[in-house]
Amino acid sequence: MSTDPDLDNILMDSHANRSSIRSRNLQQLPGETLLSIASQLDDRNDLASLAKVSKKLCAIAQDELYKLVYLSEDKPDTICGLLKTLEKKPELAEKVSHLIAYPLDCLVSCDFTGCPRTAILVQRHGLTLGEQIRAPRLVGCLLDLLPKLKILRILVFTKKKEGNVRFEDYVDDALPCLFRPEFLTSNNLASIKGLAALQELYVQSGTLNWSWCTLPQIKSITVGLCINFDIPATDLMSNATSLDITMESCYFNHEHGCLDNLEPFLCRFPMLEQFIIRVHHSEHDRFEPLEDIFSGDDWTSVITLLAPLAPSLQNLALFPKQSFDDLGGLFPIRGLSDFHKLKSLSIPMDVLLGSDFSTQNALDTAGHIQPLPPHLHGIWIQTPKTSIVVWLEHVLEMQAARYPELRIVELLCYENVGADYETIEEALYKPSELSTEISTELSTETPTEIPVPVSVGEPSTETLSNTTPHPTSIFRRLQLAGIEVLLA
Amino acid sequence: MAATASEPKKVTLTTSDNADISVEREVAERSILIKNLLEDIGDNGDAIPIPNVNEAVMKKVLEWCEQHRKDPPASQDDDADSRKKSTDIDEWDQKFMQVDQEMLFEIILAANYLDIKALLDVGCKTVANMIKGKSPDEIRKTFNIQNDFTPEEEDQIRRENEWAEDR
Repeated sequence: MSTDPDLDNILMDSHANRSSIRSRNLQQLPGETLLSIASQLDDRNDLASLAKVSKKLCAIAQDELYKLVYLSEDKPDTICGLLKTLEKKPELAEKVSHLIAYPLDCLVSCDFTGCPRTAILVQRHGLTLGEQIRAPRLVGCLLDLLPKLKILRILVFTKKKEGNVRFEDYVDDALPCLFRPEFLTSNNLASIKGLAALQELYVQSGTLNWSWCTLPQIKSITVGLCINFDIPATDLMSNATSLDITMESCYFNHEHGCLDNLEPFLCRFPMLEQFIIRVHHSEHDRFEPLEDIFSGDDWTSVITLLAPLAPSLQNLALFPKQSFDDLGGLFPIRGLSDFHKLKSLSIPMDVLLGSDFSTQNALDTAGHIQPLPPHLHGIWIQTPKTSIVVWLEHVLEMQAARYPELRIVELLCYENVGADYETIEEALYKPSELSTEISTELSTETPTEIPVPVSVGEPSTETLSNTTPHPTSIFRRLQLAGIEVLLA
Repeated sequence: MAATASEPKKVTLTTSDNADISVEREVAERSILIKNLLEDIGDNGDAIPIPNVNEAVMKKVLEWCEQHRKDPPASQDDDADSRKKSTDIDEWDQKFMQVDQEMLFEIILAANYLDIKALLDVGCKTVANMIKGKSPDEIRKTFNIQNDFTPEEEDQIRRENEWAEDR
């Protein structure tokens, strides 16, 4: 049973009446059926409309509506309204499992007369009643009301004197905007009701504040456009099992110091099973020459930074920005074989094999092919060049026995990057390139049975989702030494 | 599989209005209720009483079961939270659901009682599509629902959910 008396009555009522009444009206459908109808309404405007239809449908619609609360930056006043709603109907606060809040850091006038609980809450958060309050601090108060919160997406926009809010105008660290300083330590942050049970965090900020990482139930952290990692002075560890970091390409180098911080930061994640780095090429460095924004070296040395994760990591994905393969001078990545638990790996071909791995010299360099993680199940190779067939032959035919668990190799061709799909396809079928006969099967279906290595929910913003190019949808499967090779 | 000369196994269902409907067991077993009944009591050839569904509705439901007899069974792990929010309904099902509201709700109730999850889903999606994009008044008109709010209550609900509205 839920904690909502209105909803409970409806559910009880429909249980009692189900067999006796021949129902022919929407309102006489069983409560749980009405709930599943409401769950099909993904536009919150529709749920808000449904709530206004009748008392019964109000309880149903609100049950669905309050599962996901979304507060955009353009209407800061609505946060006050929501706090007042939760004062009157505290049972609705228990329904919120997912909060998306993108507050604008601006002053809001709130009148909490007649809301004694909210008044106490606001004071607990160090705010003064009757004065204007910064919108992000109200979000902090709201977070303290949501005991069942599992997923939080947060971004605090900075206020510009004129013009519209631009996406890139967000504060470096959201936490100090949300809470008074006393709450910001790891221990005290967990006393915020909405953070005690939090499992997934999506945060857009320049600095990833360490206190987020030590929340007691936190499993997955996705951070967008991060340029700095907060290294804790204490020896606290994070229990998070998944970390997804999108970094600005201009900071992805040792010169800036950002990567130097990454290694000690990762040492604090002994349970980490999934790690994803995406490099985002943002608007404002578009005109800088590529060689200035990062050197190819930084990608191949990433694996040494990841060394602390070698004992626990199961999924690893490195997504450079799209123009990545324009850079030469990459050496093959080393040390992958130390990742004993790694099951899936997504990596650009140039990082895996070095940018000099070409068809001409591949046979000479083949002897230097770095060993893969021993228990790998699948490898996703981004932006392959035609010389990938030499690697396929070498690893899948000559070394297949080394990787008994390897089942899937997928070549991810993208438009405008690397060799195109047709060229790779042609190379795969050229008899001189591969000594073994390949059995092929054409398939235009998406291979659904394949465990996709990277899925920790949707990216938190549109910009994040743009960082990874989408592969073409045609798949060709081939079998090579018993291992499925997919070309996409 | 070798072809056999024997007829496919049939079962008889007795509806609430005492009509006997003979149907292939495979089709009837789209209903988890009937499937479990047949497994528990064994198929002794007796008619299975379905006291909550009348003949007209049962025939409609069986028409759906016939069309979807080969569908893979629903996976166990798609609970309410992970279920994809999609009001896409396949073409055949859309045509199938073009019935008057009374029949639509009867189908939903029958699917619920007979435990046919996929049919219940299609029914719920159909109703959801009838709600989408409508104002509260239009929803009341569509489903013939009385407004039981006082003007004050109506105003209060509007203020409660103001954060969620942007149109």
